[in-house]
Amino acid sequence: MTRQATTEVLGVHDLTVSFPDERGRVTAVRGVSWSLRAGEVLGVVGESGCGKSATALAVMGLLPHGARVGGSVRFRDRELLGLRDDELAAVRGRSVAMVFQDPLSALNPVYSVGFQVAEAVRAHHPGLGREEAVERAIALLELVGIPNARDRVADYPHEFSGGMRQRVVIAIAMADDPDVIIADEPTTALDVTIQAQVLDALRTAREQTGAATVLITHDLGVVAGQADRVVVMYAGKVVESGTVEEVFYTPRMPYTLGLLGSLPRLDGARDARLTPVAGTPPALDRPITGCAFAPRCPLATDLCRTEEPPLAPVDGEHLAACHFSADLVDRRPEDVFPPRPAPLPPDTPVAEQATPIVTAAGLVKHYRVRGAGLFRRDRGELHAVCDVSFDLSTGETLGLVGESGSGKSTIARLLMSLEDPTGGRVLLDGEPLARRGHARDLQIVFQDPMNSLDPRMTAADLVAEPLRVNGTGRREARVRALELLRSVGLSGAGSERYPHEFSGGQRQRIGIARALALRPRVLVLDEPVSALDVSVQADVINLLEDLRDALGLAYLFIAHDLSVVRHIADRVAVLYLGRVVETGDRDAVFDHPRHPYTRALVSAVPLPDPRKERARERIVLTGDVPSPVDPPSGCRFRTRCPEYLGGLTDAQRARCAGEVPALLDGVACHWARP
Amino acid sequence: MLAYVLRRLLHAVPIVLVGSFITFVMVSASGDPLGDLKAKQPPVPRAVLDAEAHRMRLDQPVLERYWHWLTGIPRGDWGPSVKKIDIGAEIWPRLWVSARLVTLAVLLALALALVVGVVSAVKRYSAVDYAFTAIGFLLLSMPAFWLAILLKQQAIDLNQATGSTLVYTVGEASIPPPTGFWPTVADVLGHLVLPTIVLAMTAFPPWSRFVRSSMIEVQESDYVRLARAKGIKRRKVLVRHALRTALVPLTTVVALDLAVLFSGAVVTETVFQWRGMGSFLLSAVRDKDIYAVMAWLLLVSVIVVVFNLVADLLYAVLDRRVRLG
Repeated sequence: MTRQATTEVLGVHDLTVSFPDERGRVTAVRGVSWSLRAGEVLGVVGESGCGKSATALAVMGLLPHGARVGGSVRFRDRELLGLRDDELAAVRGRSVAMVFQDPLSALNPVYSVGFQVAEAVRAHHPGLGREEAVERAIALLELVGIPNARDRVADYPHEFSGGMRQRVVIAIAMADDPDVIIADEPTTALDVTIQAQVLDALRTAREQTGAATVLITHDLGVVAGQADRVVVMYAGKVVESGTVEEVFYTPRMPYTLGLLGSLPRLDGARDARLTPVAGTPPALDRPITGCAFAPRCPLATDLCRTEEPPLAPVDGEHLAACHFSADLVDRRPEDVFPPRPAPLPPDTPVAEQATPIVTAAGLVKHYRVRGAGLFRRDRGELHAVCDVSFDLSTGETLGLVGESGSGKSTIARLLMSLEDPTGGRVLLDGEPLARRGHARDLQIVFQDPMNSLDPRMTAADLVAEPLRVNGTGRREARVRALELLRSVGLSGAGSERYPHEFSGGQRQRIGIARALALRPRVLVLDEPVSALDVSVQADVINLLEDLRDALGLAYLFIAHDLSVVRHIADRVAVLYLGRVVETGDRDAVFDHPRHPYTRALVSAVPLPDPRKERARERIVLTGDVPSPVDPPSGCRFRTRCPEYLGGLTDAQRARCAGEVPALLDGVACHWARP
Repeated sequence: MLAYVLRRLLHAVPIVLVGSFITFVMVSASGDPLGDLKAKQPPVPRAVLDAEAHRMRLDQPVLERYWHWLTGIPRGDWGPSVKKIDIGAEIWPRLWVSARLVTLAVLLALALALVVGVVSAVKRYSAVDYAFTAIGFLLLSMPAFWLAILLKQQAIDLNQATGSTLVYTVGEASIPPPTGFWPTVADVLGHLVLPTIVLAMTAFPPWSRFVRSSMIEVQESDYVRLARAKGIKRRKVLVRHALRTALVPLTTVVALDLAVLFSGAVVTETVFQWRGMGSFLLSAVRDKDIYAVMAWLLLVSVIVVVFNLVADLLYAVLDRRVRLG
């Protein structure tokens, strides 16, 4: 660390933030302190609702109407809390700039991108002419990697992809050469290969402006790769802080340990059962006595429940808020968080059978795209799924991975007969799928349990509904529903509550219980855990594994999160623009990817292990996924393929452009490595 | 864009045709245009009744009558009238009279809606906000004719108290009209004051509520937050980012309310004894003057369809995400 590293640029001291709520006030931030030093990257991690974003907004003075702030926020020697809005306006953008989470909503849809960047330039240089500001905007857009920036300044945000929009937001943050950049979940909404590009753009912004950065994220992998120091937040407080290595390798607070243990790992470092943290974070609408984590902590004693542990040094600058941090030296997650086996439904397992239950044979799905002319003739077809085949046997999990637009969810809908394929067919036990007849055998669990459960039905009714629809008597259906709810870990009084009264993880359990009601043999799981926080996600993954093993279910597990797929799947199929580019045993695919796309995808997933993550060679793909309306000829990946753009000869390239590579031996690439 | 306009106009033609046919059948069935004539004492001779029925095309089946009426319009023949007026010659000047009332009322209501909506959104849950809400609901629940009579009586009292005509309370212009261009304009505007206020007062409350809620929504949006994070002053962000975006959906609301405003104009014009579309419709209905009623309905429906198209086009200009197609 250099001399610079000790000077504080931004300091938050004993910050509190509370919001009005229908039941009173919610204290989202309960006395947070951290210090950002010149030139460093400070990672702030924690699950949703822990107060990460509220802290950032409090620093910027951008909290919504009705929020109350206490404590202190100092930029260099100046107190920012209590400043008038116009005084703060002079600080925002120039001293402290911000990058927001959702690039799709962060830009105003009615102004051009150039205007919005130039606006940021002119905010602190009122003398600058419009043209000069636009010139500067173009320069900024080029810096963050917008191709043909000059031609694109007049375009509107909706004409840019999500990753490109996030670069624009980063360009805006750079515009006034700030001293601090606060990035609030800057890559959460993006696909992994795009995330890698955006993290590069953020690094460029840091290097260009020399700004110190606060990187707020729930993704421990991103922090491991980017941050110098880490602050872990829980229930509106800092529970641990230190260098990345200290926090990742020698955590001294059970919560941090639990978070690390609940993460599925892409590098296969933890193939054992995940160690979820039981329960959910506390509600913050009433005061908390003692340690906020105590109700979920296996080590908690009466002392923890009555007296709040201070954030105290455990080793130099490594701080932890735990009465028993000394006991955590050299403890592994599974030592502290014993995995709980789930009670399982008393159903008999599906009989093992030699032939696959489900076979997808050459599935094709095209959607018509209508033109804008006088007669709206078809402008073309959107090629969502192209010649996808796979099969699925009892007790097996096939992971379907791919980025947005790869056709994952369309395949799920085709399998469920929610849509008719343009070509190919789905076979169940070798027979073509009949719409109603096989509904019992195939069930689906959706990504967002809030949107897939009727808000006006109780948990018991939701689970009983498929049974009632299929002719089971009211009383019998209810008994079975309660039994199913119990088997997914929701027992007793919970059955009469409504979806909004449950946490996200519990809602997903209801979704699973509902899918199991008809004793299906195959479950299609469409991003079942991607809306959940890691500690909760681990619990649901464990449940799914237990159910599969006990009932002999076959899973089609669709996810964009490669680590989760690596953990749960037996076999994997990697999709790109509607085609399977690589398929095979999960260890083979993840440890020795052969298709250039799989290689890039695997290398782009951040590992929650600072040393490994920093030592890894990363393949950052250029550009965005092409439009499925007009996919590239031949190999669809070639427009982004590092081999095609780099290593291949002209003759080899001609083959990529002219001939669709067949899926041979699990890889669809003309030049696949053995 | 042009293709879109053409396609929308092509879509509009069958809508107007089907609509006009349905209303034609309904209006034709609503009473006997010769009822007054037949009830006369002493009775009108049979031959006269037959001749009148023939002139009113009552001896033709409905379908034929409709076809006759429809094909006459392009030639400027709006059909026979019970009162033997020339419907075409009568309706155009009246449309102009009503159109200037509705246009001015829309502009005034828009201005009021913006001011009230923005202020209530910015000062949400303050005394001002609650006061605006109360006034809005008061105006919403007040029948237009009652507000009109109230204002008219106040104006008459005021005129009597001062002994001169400060505010015109009768007619759309003085009779005889003043000579010269500017005196005419001043005279017309003077007569517009009260009816415009009445119409605008009944139209603006829902619009201001709409502006308020969309301003509140936009103010909480990420892009308004980003604009402020750039270091732009609050007031500037409010106008440039919040209001500009909040305005977009208002165009549709206003266009849809246009039909309501035309019916509101009927009531208002009647109270102020204007010779506009309102009294035209009322006397046509009273006289069971089928073709006059149809002329009114056709014009208003065409206006509504056209302004909906205009609103959609405006929407696409204001928000580039909207692709017409």
